[in-house]
Amino acid sequence: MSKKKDEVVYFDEKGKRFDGRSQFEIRPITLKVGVIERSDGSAYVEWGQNKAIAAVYGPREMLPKHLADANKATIRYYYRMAPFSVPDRKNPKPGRREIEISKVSGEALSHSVDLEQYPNTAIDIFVTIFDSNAGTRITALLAASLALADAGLPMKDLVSGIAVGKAGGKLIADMNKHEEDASDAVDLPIAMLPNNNDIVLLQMDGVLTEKEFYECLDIAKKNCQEIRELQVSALKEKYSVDFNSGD
Amino acid sequence: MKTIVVPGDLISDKPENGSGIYQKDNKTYSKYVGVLYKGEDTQVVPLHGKYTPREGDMIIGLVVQEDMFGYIVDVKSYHMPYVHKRSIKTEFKPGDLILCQVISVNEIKYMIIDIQAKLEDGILFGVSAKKVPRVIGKHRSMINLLEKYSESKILVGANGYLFVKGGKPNIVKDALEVISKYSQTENLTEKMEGYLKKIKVE
Repeated sequence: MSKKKDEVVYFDEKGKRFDGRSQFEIRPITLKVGVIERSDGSAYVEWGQNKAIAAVYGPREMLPKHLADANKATIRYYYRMAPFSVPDRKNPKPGRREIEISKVSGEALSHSVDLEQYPNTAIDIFVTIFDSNAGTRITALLAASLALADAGLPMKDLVSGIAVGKAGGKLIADMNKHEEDASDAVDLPIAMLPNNNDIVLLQMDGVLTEKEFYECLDIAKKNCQEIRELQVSALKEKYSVDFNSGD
Repeated sequence: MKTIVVPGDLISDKPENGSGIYQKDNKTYSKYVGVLYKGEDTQVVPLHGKYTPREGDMIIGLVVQEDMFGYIVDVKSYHMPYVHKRSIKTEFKPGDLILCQVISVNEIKYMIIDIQAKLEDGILFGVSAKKVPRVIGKHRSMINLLEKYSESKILVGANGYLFVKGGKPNIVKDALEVISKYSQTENLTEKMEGYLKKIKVE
């Protein structure tokens, strides 16, 4: 294949990606639990350049009352991007994309939380994206899941996820914005409950063959287990403080 | 060191009885972020969460709203109980603190409360409802310690509200922050005594 002059390269001679990662390497993740004092539960997640902060309030009274479900609690998930989170200023008004992500992410979390224990209540989850570079919905979901656990809500499992996809003809894990803009790009965000690999969120943008799709699922499964370990250690870190070290 | 588990952590390879856990495929998993106790019953005691009302509990409430027929009271729970004016003799206004008893709780955690007394000339503090046993301590050891060093009268509601009267409420406030932060450590009362002595010298 002859190289055209302005062709974008997604893999160099050594097989490294644009930002120096190998094919299935994910960006560094930092997680912190209990960052907002006045909330019931909160968490902060940095995934590469993505930054998300999540706060949970509730279970609390559902207002307006006619929206309350008499059989279970309702999750209200608010995914919002800060105006400064993208290169060009984003209108702070929630757009089509944000409303959709809020809907699917809230549904993903409702598979994990034991909602039947709290009839007639609402669980409000507010997630704000401060900085974005592809994969923010999964970053937001990780933060929200940690915040829910921090709020002391009964859960089946933590929700973890990853965006896998394709760029430059090869399958890759955790793509960044540059790779997401490739001409043959496929973006496949997947969130699951890592204990038994139940998929709670799956969206796809682009075209994959069936074989490639199942390969993507395997990559996601493997990575979700690793990300869960990070989430667990972040939750435990909050409670591993030593009495004599502080105060 | 107490074992801390998070939701979805495998506790046992066989189904077990207890609280704070769930069974799936003949295995037992944790449901909460909490401390694991293994005995006759496996228990995961959550480290954080709102007050779950129980019949007979003495709780402290904050009147938040008044209307024609009664008051809405904040008790740090999932719902705000409503107290009818015709069931009580004294009048209240928003902001008043009251000592109340939970008369009944139904299956959706709505509660009926009975107002026992109005609490006056004191300060309201709050801790997580799941940390109230740590604030009280074994045989009230922790609360006696706090009363001794702060010279205040302390009333602890089962819902995590504390009413502090007289003395040095700032000491209670600092101590409660420490308890909330280190509630999962062992020998908390002893450590707290050391801490209180230290700040008294300072």
